Amino acid sequence: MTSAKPRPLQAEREDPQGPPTARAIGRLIAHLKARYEDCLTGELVIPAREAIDTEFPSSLDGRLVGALRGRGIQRLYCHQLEAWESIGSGRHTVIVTPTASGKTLCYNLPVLQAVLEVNAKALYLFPTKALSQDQVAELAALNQTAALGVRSFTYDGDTPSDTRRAVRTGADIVVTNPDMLHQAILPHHTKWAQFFKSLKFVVIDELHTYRGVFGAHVANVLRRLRRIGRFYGVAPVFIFCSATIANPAQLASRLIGDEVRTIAGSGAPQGARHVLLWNPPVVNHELGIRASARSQTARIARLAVDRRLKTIVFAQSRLLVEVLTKYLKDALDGDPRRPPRVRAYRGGYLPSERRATERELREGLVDCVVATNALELGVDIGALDVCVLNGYPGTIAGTWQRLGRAGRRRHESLGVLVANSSPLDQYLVSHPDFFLGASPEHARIDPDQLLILFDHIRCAAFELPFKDGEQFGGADRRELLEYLQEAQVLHHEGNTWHWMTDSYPANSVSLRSVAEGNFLVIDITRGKKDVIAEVDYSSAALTLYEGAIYMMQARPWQVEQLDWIGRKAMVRETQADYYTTAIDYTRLKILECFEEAQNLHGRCVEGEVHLVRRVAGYKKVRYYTHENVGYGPVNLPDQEMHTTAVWWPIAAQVLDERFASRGQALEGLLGAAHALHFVAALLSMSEPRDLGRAVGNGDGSWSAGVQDDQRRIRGGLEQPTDLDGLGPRFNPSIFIYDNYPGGIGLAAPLFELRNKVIDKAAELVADCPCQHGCPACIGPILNPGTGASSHSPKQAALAILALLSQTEVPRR
Amino acid sequence: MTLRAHLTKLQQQAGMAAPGSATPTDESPRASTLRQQLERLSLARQGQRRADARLDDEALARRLHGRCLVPGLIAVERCLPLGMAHGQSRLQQSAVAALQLFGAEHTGAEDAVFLDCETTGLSSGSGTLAFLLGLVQIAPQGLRVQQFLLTRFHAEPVLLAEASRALAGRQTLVTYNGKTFDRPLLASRYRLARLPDPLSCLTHVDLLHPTRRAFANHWSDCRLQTVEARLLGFLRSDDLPSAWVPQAWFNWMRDGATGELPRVLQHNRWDLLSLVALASALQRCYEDPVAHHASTVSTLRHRRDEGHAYRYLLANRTRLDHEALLELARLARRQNHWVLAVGIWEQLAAQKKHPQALEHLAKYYEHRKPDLPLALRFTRELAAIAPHSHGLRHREQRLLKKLAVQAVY
Repeated sequence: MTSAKPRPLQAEREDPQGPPTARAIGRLIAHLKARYEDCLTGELVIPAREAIDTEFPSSLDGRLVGALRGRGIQRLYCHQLEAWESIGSGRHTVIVTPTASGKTLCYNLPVLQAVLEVNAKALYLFPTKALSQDQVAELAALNQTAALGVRSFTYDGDTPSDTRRAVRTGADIVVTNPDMLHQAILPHHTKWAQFFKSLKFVVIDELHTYRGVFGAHVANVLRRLRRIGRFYGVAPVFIFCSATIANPAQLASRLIGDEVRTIAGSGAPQGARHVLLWNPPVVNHELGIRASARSQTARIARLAVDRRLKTIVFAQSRLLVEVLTKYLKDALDGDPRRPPRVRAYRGGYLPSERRATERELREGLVDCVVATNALELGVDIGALDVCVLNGYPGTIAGTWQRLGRAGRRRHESLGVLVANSSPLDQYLVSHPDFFLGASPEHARIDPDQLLILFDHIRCAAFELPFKDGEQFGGADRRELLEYLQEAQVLHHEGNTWHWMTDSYPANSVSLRSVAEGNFLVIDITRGKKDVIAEVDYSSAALTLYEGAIYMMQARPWQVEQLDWIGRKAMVRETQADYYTTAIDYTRLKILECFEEAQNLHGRCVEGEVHLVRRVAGYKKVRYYTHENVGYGPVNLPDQEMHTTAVWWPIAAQVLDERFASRGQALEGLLGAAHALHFVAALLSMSEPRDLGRAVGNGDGSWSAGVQDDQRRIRGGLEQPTDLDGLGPRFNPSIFIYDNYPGGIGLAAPLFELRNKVIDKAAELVADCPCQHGCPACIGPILNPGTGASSHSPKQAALAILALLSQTEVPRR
Repeated sequence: MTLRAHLTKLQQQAGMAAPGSATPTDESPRASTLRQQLERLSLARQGQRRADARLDDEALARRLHGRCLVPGLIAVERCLPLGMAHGQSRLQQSAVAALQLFGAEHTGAEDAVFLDCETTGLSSGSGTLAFLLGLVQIAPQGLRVQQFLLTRFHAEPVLLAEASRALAGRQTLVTYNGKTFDRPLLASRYRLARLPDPLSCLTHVDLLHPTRRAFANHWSDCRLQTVEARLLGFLRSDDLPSAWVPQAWFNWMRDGATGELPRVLQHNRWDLLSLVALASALQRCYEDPVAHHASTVSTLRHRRDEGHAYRYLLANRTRLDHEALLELARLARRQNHWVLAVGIWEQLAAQKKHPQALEHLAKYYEHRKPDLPLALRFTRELAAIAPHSHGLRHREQRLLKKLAVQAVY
């Protein structure tokens, strides 16, 4: 994708493989269409695009011109020139262009120019280590071509301690990740004084990955970085690169609290791209069960490899990568005398092994690679022809990033998205337009999330004492400083807040979670004491209770002892033929309403809620037959959480009019909540587990949920309650809440998008081909066989969504 | 709800402890009980604190027998006579001569400065500062001990400048573990105060390293207090434990509690004096490691003088441990004193089945004084105790082959 690779990239050279590949792809598409018509739910064709390029700018340093020519680059694309000008004028800039459009040159040129001309320094931040190494290799190649003498180094956990000093004092460009910046660089900024004094540019690639909790943390790390910069008298220019999302400039400016200019519209050439949406055939119409996505994925990949097309398969988990690799190897690597055609690539492999696979891919020695998202970001693996996605990656931006792995430059390419049975996947395959229009995804962050902000105030106070009236993230944080003084962390003297405790706060702050407090899962089988996993605090109660079966890579361990205070679970390997699920009750209570909007039959509200979750026990479920083989008690403290939420109250009277019984109304509410939950995750660019859903009264007097394959109504926390007995207290709302203590800013955008959330949820349910509801739309339905009456849970959910909607929901 | 109450509540829900206290992951259980002790300690003192009003700097300086340089900084100076006892050792001018052994060749008596800091914590990074900086210089008239105590944060630049003044013109810096701790910490403080760092141009002798070289194999650890007990014969009485030092200063800063400050100064003074005494003691150890139960081989190798080492080992032959005996054999072999070398190896092989000795013997009898059956015997003895030794199988095969050839002729 960029200049630093040995192959010429913008040079006008005909790809000898071009036309036959195009024909092979055409034949593959024709075959798929003819043979699997029922599975194809949509097709997109993005036509080929010619390059729009231009001369090198006259201000470009002669040495750089030489280096570019040496790499076979004679002209710049128009967006590269635009970036050059914007960055050159000192403006924070975000570059939004697709994969393989030469975006690294957008920032490397201004950075290298400044290094050559004024000895400037630059900091490159990548979300993962592998990317950092590619970047350094690339800079080194460019550097070598014209003997520029620019020193660039990675600085991460793998950097040996004796070279760290050399990096600190000698590097022009330091390539690292936000975690290292947070834990190792900023708290030791005095050791980096030389670097900070000349810091002119901060490059942040893969901007779209900085969202949610991670984004809020990184925004605060950048606040700290700018604060340290001020101490050394510098105000670096920030350069961002992002995949296509709806609001790149907004996200970038939230991250640094400053205006950011957008450069969109790539001038790079692009071969025609075909995208097929693939829904595995339904095998059980009653239950809406479909054929497994993984066998379909393997089949498509095999068809592509048979046609000599270089293929990449993306799977959602490490386990799935292994399973798919096995399927494909069984089919394609039968001959042991020949070198393997199929390779797996995922986290957990040794770096050397991953590098080797990357090299084999670049050199075209491997025909098919099966990967996790470890290959999604810009690791250089050269051009591929076909990309098969086993399941929707969770975001449209991520989907395009992965699809972009096939069809670099002038190649024609094919991408196939194979849906699994989750509601998100089902929604996407049935709505091809979702892909085509402008990206609907808004990446949001809330840098002022109280717990996250507080963590970083501590880190910042350690790095440099705060002065009275000093702003952090645009506001005076005196109240937090006073709190820290009371906690004997800071000492206020004169107008300054000094760090006065023996600790290193960055060590206890992880950028990937709201709060430290993860539980360690320790394997004590045969006298071992190995840490085999970490479970975050919020899910510990649901997965690590004593007696629980804890699964990893499909291997079962049983929890013998849970040390709640010490945050440890002792587990032992077991042969159990059952797994366990927690029986938990959630009670939700409205504390405060921030905003409210009327719709036809009710309201939509955003506000603060209080949740109490109790794990009362667990049940044992036998594999395959799913029969209950026993119960166990759990004795754990209640989990409490204050967070933000969006909810839709519906008056009992309206429900009583529309539904034959309150039971049916409740079924509708639960089904609608299920669909709303997944659509809300889709639109807010978060994971389904970042959100929670609940149905109940806002005063906490009763709540409903699905448990033990039964709908359960609970008054308070435990006692089952009868719906009709509630009388006028039957005043339900559907809640979609932010599943982090204090909220991470997901509720506000959901409130803004409230109508879209309702409409898309209604579409999801209405367009689902199942009869009475299925896991892909309203959640698993109970006793599908006995739904003899005219009542259909699916229709009930649609009726609820219609009540919440501004407009009438189209009925099938 | 106030912001504060809100924060506390969210922290509890997120499974966090209060900000000042330990997080479950980074503290050992022992450390947390220490912390609890500290908390109890500070609670116990509260009553006492309220009783006396906060001292001003002048009054505090008088109590500490020092003088107040500027508001926020107290200097305490002592002059101690040379030859004064420090445990079973003495504070002597020879301490400076010792430095020449450890990398500071041209240090004259008055060029060296011994330095030790008391800090607000053990973690590195810009949030930790040295609130007490102690220096010792050796003059003909005696040891000059200078201590600079910060009583307000704002006076830190003055403390640093005073330290610079005291260090001006000196050549050699002597510390214990200063290479990893004191010196980078002070460099960071000078940078934060935007002052030039006077330590960067000094030759730095960190006595931890020669101590480790001599005693790491003999002692459980090389902490300064271990050195005092095992080498200097010095036992501190009523010492403030290092771990309590920061808290003592915090108590003064927060509540004006002066109770522990004299003990902090005393603790630092002992560190400094031990540093001076250690320099002389180390010199003696390196001169005669056998007598001082130091690692003979590594201390001798440190001098890079094989002639001296050979003479020394030979003179002490009866008192050497295995490692030293092997070293003597090695040196003897290099000087072609094979009888001595073989004698030592055979002694070790016979007494202890020492693998290295067996290997040397096998080599010797294969190559030097061909006696192949004997070489094979030693090889097999070695195989019996260390079957995975390098090249063992090869040697055995080779010897068997050679023996077979011999048999033919």
